[in-house]
Amino acid sequence: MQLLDTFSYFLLVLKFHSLNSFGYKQSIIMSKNSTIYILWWFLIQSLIEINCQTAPFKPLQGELHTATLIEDKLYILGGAANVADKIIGKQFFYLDVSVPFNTQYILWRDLTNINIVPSHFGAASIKGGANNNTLFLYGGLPQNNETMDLIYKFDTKTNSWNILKTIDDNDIVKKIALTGIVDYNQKMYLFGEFKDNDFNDMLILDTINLSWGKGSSVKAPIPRYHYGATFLPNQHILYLGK
Amino acid sequence: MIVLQPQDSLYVLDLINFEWYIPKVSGNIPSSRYLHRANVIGKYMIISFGTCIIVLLYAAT
Repeated sequence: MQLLDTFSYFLLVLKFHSLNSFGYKQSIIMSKNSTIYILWWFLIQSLIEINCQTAPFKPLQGELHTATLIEDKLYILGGAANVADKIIGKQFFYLDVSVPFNTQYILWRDLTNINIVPSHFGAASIKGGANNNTLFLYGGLPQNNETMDLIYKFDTKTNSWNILKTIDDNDIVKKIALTGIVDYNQKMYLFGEFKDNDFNDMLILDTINLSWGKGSSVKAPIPRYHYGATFLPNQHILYLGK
Repeated sequence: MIVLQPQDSLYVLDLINFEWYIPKVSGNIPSSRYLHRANVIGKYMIISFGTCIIVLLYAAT
């Protein structure tokens, strides 16, 4: 961009120089011409600016990120970078799935500048809240010795992140490497544990009333993490693997 | 550890009888991976990122 700027400026200077070398009679025509050149210069400038704004965002790829679909947008946050010695940082972006796309060329929309969640991986995320359009992020392991709160929420209507505090926060374990599940009542289910021990307890966060609960451990599956889980239409959660 | 071939990396669990099967797929099959995320959006399943580094290490040894 800098190069193009300098180049167009150089062209303009060149045109003015060539004007001066012509005679007086031609100066009126030339002044018209110079107006055109100036207009051209502004046009080029604005084109360069538009071009810079739509430069495609290339995210750093990672694992153990979260991908949350809210309305027509797939929000991607966090993760551990695939490349050694690199961190994902505050990278936060979405894919608009309302328009067709080719996996060879994906137009990611960057929201990194509004993200308050520290660089982390292994968190769990769901879509919930009173209007069912808020992203809830639970747990995860921060990088760079940063401190990370238990829950963050992202309002997709106002594009704003907030830390969610509840009165039970101190009693709630911060888990990593789990899958978040949400039911039809916007309750978030967090099964399993991977931190100091492996557990098989079920934490439940009501994302409307913002209160914590616990599920029964009777006949619970053995402790696990990095598993797959999915919410079935018959309101059962299917847990698979690891 | 079993190295998955791309052509049998996708399994379907029939929720009626809880039986597994490998579906017939066409097109370019993405490389096998883990620690990715999968989102079902309409009739599509979108797989984002993930890694296959351990698979590569295993293949090398």
